[in-house]
Amino acid sequence: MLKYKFPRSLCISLQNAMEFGKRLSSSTAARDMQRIETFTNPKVQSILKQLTGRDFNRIFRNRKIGQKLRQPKVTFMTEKQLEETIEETERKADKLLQMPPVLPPANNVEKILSFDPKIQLHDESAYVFTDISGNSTDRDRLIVIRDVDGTLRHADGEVRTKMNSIYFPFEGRTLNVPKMFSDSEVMKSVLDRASPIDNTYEFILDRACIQFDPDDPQYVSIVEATYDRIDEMLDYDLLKSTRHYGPMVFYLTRTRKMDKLLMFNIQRERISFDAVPLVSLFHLIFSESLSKQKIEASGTMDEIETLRSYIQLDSIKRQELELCLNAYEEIKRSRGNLEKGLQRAHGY
Amino acid sequence: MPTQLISFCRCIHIFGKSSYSLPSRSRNAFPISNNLLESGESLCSSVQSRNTSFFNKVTATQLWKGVTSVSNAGRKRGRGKGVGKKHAKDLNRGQVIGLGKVNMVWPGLNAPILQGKELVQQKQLPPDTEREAKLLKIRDFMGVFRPVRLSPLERGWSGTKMHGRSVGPPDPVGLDTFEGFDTKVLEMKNVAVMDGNFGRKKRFSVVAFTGNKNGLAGYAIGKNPDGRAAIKRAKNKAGQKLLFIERYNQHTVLHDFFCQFGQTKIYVYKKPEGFGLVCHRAIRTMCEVIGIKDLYAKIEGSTNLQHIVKAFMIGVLRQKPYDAMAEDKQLFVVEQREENEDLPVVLAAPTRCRELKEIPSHENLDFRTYGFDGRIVLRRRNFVPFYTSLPSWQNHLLKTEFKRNSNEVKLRLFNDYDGMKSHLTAKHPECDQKYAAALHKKQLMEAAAANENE
Repeated sequence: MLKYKFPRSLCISLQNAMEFGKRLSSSTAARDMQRIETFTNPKVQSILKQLTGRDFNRIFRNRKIGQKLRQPKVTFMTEKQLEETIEETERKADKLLQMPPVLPPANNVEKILSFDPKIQLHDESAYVFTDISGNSTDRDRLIVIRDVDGTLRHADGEVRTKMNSIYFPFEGRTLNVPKMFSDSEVMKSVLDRASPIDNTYEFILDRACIQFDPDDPQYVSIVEATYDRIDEMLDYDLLKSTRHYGPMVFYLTRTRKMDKLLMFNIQRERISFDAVPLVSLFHLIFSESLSKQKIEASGTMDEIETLRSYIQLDSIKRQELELCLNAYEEIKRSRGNLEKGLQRAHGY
Repeated sequence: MPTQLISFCRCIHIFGKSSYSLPSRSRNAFPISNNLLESGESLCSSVQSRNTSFFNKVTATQLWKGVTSVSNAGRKRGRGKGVGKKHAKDLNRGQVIGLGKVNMVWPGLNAPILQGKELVQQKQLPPDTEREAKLLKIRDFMGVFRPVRLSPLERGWSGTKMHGRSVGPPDPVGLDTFEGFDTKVLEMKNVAVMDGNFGRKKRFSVVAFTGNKNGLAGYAIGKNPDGRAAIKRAKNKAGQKLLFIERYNQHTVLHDFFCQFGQTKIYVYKKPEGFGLVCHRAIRTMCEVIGIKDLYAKIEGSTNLQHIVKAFMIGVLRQKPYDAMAEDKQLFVVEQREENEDLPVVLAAPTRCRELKEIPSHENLDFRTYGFDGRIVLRRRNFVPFYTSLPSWQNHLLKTEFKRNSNEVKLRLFNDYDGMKSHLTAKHPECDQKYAAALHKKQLMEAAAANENE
């Protein structure tokens, strides 16, 4: 147990505010919640995995974490052994590409266990009791607070993370929130210094993953700020073949900021494996969208047509996207003509 | 006869480069007189005098050579070297043509002919008292032996010796310009042979190793009585005997191997990036010139330099490229790195791969041993101090455990709290190490301010 001063009055007013807020904007909030929950949809998961890519050189790159270099291990293998090793590598890649869960930020709901006014003012501060027996995870662990006014309640949010960090620390998670996350100026300077050499975005997101739970409101704000920055600088490729690409694309699509990404993909002629799945993702999250209805009505649709229907009906940067798509079609046409011309010249 | 006996007193001047006045060997004590002596009378004893001698018949260089030269026998005994060597002094240093012992203005020589519109006249100025002293001072500092001073970058393996020193690229031959090449002298020794006529015939034997730091290298031995000529010969010969050496990723050897020449055995190990060249200085120099940056080599047996060079070259040329290995074993050669989560990288594939059942149980599949041709290298036990087995050691470990992590804690505190503080320092400022000093300073300043006010 540890003496911890927690302002209980503040917590109650927050709770009331949130419940009131929920009642007001219940429709939009509920829909947001619903959209976030589509992350667990297996179709969405498969699209995100497809979009992430699987470049082994990038996934298993040499991470500069101060490890001592040893002579590489060289072995003589049979074909079967080689295949087995490659399979194992695929499994390792799957594990490394496992996406951190996208969850709505948790609201601090207090669950009061008992109220004993007889022991009021037993001490000047509250007591936090943690069950440190080994058979529980960080989220299941029993952590309760006995307040000064005699209330016994379950701990939540910051208190929980703090207690878990104290009794069950692990490599990478600091007791106090790093300045990078608590100080917005420092965060800004880190984002300004982003470069492909340092893998800065990956570093920020990995560190946030270690430090916070996925439903921590701080985690959500940090991660969304990073995604917004990547969107601003068009640095999407820096997260390709990492576990953060999926959640980033999901966030951008969910918040209707995916148009820049779509344009990025069309410009680089990544139609089949990047642009079209992105639009399919949009349809899965926004099932009521117009372009989706159009596709359902028509049955099957060409790749370019699906893109065009999205651009015309649901996109926000409509004009730019249309120009982009038209430019792509032009290039494709001229290339086709050139090939035909060459073939004719060669006598085919 | 009187004229033969009597001679004039004369000052002898030697013309040419130096103006050193020498008194005549004989001086006539008696003045010149017109009275001729009668026969039988003798005024003075017969004193030898010369009007001229070797001094004014021989050049300055020849004079100096007479003073400074050492005989062949003396040279054999090492005389006339280093500090003991007599150096010729250039007596013209510190002097200008036109200025001499007599301090005089010579228009056209050491003064202009016209000063404005007036003609400058020949004039004798008062004598310069310090001229002699200055000249002597200059000559005192001349002719002193000064050892060769090399910068650390130029230095070889030690001091002023030629071992390990760079001597530049081989001389261009026709269109071959040897760009990017650098030669290092591995050995320079004085060797001699007995001859019927000359006795000991001395010469220099130089081993030079040349390379372009990119896989091309060659070595050669050059001999010549002159050291510099010997180096040149070795260098150019090495430039004609270049060989291509296979490297792995341009920084190390392909695999561990063993090589031998005579009684010199070398065990060479392939090492990862950043390891460096941990080997005999000769091998290190060779690797630098070849372009190998990471290596471990252990020499067993003789350390004869020429044998080391030959053994290492044999080993590095006999390296098996991975394709050859794959063909020989009929198996895939696969590399896995720890830092890349053991991602398999196929270095070479065989034309036909064997299956597990085709491989006999006794066959060696260990890559390291394969490189060593079946040899197993003795691994010495890690040195452990005697006290670690005593019970008092465990006691010591228990006592010091609390401060084992102190450096990391210090770093963390500096990061979180800007100094050796904790989360309690804000509440209890007296806990801060620098608190007392800061408080004292503050009190002094307050006292000073109070004094000023008064």
